[in-house]
Amino acid sequence: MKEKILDVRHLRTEFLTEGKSLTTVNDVSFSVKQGEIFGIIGESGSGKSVTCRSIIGLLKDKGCVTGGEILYKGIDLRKLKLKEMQKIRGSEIGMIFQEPMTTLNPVVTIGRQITEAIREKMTKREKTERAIELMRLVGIPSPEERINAYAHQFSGGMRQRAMIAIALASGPKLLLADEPTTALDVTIQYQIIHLLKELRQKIGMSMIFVTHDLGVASQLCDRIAVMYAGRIMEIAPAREIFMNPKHPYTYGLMRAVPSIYRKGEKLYSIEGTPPVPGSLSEGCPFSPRCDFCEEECKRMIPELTEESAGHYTRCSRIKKLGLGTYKKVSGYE
Amino acid sequence: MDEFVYILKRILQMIPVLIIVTVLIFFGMRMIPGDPALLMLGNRASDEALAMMHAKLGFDKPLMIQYFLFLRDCVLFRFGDSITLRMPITELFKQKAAITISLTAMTIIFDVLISVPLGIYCGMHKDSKLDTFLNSASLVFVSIPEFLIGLVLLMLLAVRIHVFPVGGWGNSFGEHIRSLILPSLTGALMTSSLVMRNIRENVIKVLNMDYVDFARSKGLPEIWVRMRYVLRNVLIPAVTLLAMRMTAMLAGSIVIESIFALPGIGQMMLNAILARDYPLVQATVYLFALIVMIMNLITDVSYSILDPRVKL
Repeated sequence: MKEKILDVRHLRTEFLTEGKSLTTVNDVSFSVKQGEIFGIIGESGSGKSVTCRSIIGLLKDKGCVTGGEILYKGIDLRKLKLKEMQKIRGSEIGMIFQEPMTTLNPVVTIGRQITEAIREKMTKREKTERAIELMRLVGIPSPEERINAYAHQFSGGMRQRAMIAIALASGPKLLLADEPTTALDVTIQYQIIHLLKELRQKIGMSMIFVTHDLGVASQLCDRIAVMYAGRIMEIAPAREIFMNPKHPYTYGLMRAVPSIYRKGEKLYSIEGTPPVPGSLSEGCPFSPRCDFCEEECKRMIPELTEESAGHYTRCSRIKKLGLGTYKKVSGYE
Repeated sequence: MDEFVYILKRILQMIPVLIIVTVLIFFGMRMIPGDPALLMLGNRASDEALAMMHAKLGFDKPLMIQYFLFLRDCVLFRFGDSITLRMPITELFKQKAAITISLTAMTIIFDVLISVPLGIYCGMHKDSKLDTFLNSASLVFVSIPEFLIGLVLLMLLAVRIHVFPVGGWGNSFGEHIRSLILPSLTGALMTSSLVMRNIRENVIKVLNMDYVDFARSKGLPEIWVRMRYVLRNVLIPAVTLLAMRMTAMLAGSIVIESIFALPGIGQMMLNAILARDYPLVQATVYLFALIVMIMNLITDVSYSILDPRVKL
């Protein structure tokens, strides 16, 4: 078994707004192994991005990690001082963002944005060569000319590639990818996914890949966590999540994907809307929208338990019903 | 090459604007009742004396001819003498412009010194006590007319406590500087309030941009992130705003120079209008318009140098 590069335990992140504290990430535990691509999927506002930002310590506004441990190679990142954290950022953990339009500095050339991220001691010339090399690695054509270009002279896909090149400049061992393909059109999405896969093979980088696109996740990830209302509802190898979901929410997500084979039928959608943070009651957060909800579900949140090898789910009804029942009750074959 | 073509185009565009300016000022001046010759000779002047004076000043020619003579002078930059001051206008303008330009320069120095540090501080410490205070204070200075600010400063710092002179220009360099402080502060309070608010808003906006977080995720030190990512993106719009205010300051110099009795262009123009000194008023307004247009052009060009996204 490969060693764990990142181990997140009982992570809890809260935001202070108008004197109230809203918990947006609650009791999130997962680990990422060396060279693994770990996916986090879920609807908007489920806490995927906040989880990523909590790991690298870049929460927006009044966000604050209030509980749990984030162990990177055995070091708890929460206990590090800002100076020490800055050493980890870039050279150990890198991050790429959703919007390539707004993630690059508009008034600094792409080349300088790459070279300033290179941490190793080298001359300016070596840094420039390294930057060109990185641009070539991520598939930016004629990097020698484009090194002096600005972000607005790049297309969306090229900007995303440039962003990846910048994130790779100091050779991070773990890359946090916060919906890097969401803002791109499908062909470019495919190219970026292909690029990330290639990078994993070439430099053995681990990755946390956040997305709400199930198709993208299925293409890229080894293991997937499904988040809902700040909690992980299910973690399993990617194939298991898609072929054999064990949580009603995951199951609902799968059914909500349009398919050519069910053309003409009414597309399934999970009824209701995700809960607003702060409005959660005691029970399972999904219970108000769940087809299988019982009195018990409204009273307490079930633990994340291992149902089969490597497949964890947070549902108390699964043992009683079994997946066969899910399928029968919801009329899906 | 593109830049050159652009600048040439802009210079050519100035010509029709300048022609309109000459029409407005020439005919506008003559629509105001009053006769410079009558003002010079007094009410009891005889008709012959008046006619002689008119001929001497060239006012006996038809209006259109007078206008075209003025237009010719504008093209050749040959403005003749002032009627009231009996001095070459070019010479007068040079003398007075030195004062007005020093005033504007000093105002801008105050502007930058006040607005940049405070704007950045307020943006970075949004909703802190100082931020809330400065934000309301700046609103006050934006809304109060300049002459009132000037008079209050004058009362407090020149009349009550004799820190600064009440007015005038002084005779030595030190006195010049001392007499410029209050007037430039008066002009700066309003503009720097505007610029400070602009910088504050932009700091808040830029700090929320993904590229700032992305820079941090590269492991860059905070000071570097703030200098290269926040400051650069904040100062570009601030520089433009300041440059745009500069032209407004030139216009505002009329009021400020009157309050502080500074013998600058504003004062000279005011006196010239009151004395119906047609040639002086026409030449000053024409040169003013020219300066404003050139400054606007410089602003636009500098903007494209500062911000790579802006193409000329």
